[in-house]
Amino acid sequence: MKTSLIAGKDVRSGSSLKMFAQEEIKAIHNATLQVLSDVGMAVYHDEALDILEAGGANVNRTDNVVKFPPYLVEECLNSAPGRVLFAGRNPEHDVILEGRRVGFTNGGCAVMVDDPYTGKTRESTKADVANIAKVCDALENVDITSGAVVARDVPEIVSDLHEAEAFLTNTTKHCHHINLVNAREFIEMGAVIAGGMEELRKRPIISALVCSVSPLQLHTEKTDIIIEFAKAGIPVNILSMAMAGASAPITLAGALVMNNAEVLGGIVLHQLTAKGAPVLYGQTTTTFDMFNSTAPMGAPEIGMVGAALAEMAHFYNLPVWVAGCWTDSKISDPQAGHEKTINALTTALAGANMIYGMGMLDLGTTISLEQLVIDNEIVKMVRRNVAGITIDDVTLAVDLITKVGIGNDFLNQRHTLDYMETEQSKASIFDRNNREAWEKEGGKDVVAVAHEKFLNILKTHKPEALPDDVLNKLKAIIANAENKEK
Amino acid sequence: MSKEALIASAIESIEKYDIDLAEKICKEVIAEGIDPVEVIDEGFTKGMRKIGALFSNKEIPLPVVVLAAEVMQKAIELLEPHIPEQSKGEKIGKVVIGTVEGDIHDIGKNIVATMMRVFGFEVYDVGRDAPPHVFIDKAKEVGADFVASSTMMTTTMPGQESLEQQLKESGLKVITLVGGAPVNQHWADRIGADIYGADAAEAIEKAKELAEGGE
Repeated sequence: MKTSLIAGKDVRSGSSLKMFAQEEIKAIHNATLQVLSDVGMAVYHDEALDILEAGGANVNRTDNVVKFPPYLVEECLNSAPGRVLFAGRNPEHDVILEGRRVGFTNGGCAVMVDDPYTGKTRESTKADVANIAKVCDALENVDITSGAVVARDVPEIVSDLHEAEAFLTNTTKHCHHINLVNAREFIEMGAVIAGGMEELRKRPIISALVCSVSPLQLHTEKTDIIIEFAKAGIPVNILSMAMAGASAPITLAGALVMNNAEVLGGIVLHQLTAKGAPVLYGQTTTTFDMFNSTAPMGAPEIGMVGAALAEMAHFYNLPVWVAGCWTDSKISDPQAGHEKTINALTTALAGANMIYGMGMLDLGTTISLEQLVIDNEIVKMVRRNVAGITIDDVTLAVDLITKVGIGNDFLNQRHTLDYMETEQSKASIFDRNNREAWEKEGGKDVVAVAHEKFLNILKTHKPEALPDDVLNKLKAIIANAENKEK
Repeated sequence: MSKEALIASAIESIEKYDIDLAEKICKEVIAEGIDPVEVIDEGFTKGMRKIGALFSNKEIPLPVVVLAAEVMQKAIELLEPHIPEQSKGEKIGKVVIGTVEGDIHDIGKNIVATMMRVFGFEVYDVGRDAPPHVFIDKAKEVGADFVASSTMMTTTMPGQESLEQQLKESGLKVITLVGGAPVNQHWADRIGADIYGADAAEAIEKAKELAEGGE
């Protein structure tokens, strides 16, 4: 039979969720503009104040408060690019952040690690940074490598550069620094690897995250990084982590406004420094637990806020980075499974461009390699969910149903084999065996299986090494930075 | 109202974080010439202890504690001028608290400061981004028994070490406390801090122990 052309077909490709009506998006935006113009932000950085003042903001040098005219905010939102490239040392790992494209990465400036060999939870070291980067390099669902843990066994003034050395040399995926202080030196390291500043700008293999302090403050060090990265044309992720009820209103709407205001204020500075330079909209805003006095990173609120702000970022046509794979659990247990899934799925369905948190435990203080491997599987399943169900003549398979008829089965059909890859989720560590087979293989739980898997990766995976002269230059940059401070 | 009724109302004003009620009670205490110390100790302070206990038990949320503490502060403010010097009760100790230089995160530090007030410490908050001399000058000024520092970032933790060193050099005899997300017992031991508190409750418990130990 002829399959006739359909003249104009509406298709909803992939699953998605929509948080707000257009009027609500505008209301959030207008509330944000009002906060930025009437309350403003404190920016503790003289050069930033100069830039902001010259650009049209109202600056008070006595208390460092900057008030932003609404037109200025909207101009800067317009000039910021809607598409940002996160390049990998290996171009196969390039990721584009734009629109509703979804990606995932690990978390994020943790200070503790579950020791890969003893299981003990201890302070993280430079060696941990290297190991985690290596595992991220191997795991197919970690799209870029983020600075997972802080190196606490090196001098504090250059710990960020040691961390950079450790992750840059252990992955060919794009590297996103989350604990950056020495901006110039990190950019220099990126240029050394890329083969020059021009090359780095064209194909940025590095980027960095900076956060504001809620409510409404940009501290000196972070502002420095925004300016340096803007000037260099390297992507910077301007991110807010407000706590609803503590550093922002308890109403999630008010928390949205807070996160939105802080990010937009930062973007104004960024765009006034270098119009058109690449920038990301960042969120890690969550609620504040009033009984434990903690910021729960696995609560449903964090995924909801992430989804909501992804929707705002789409409205602004900005690439967006959100928190979506964290847990408050100290161990890899059902709580961790639930919290990571509910928030990874929610933020993915909302079209967030980069969702971070893979591997994290304990309110974001700890990285566990077992959890990283488990999260790799969770993310894989989330991707399948978000890919949705394709409806067309071939997938509806009426011809096939007709052919196979009543009774029989579809196992011997080419169609079955042809579509297996795209239609079916595939479990690599989640168990789908029958009980007998599972018991015969040792009756292991997924944590044990994940443990074996990462040990194997650490033993066998060899990320593409950097040439010796590059490695030496990286070491020299760190040494210079350390001597400079002395 | 009778003294007993006023005392009962004082407790209620704290439990219900009712600042108007507290003001009304204080005015009446002053007008009637009733012993303010008794009303504070048996009324307001008792109410704060109840609040503190409920919070430690996770039965009430933090905003209730903060609001109740504000009512307490108001009551003390109104009644203190009417207390003869010699009757002034013994506080557990004087604390200078702040966030270290280079760090402007202060919510955790504010929560600890509030809780310490709730539990009977006299707290002097030097704010955030505070270099060692700010802590030390304040400690000298008020005759502090404790100096507590907080930091949220690993990069500013060395500020706690500097503070510890400079305190030793200054010759001031104080008990030091350290806290903050990246801080732990290991760090406290390394820099020679006396107390590490994972949260407000732990900090207060350990501080009280040391204070009662006759330091």
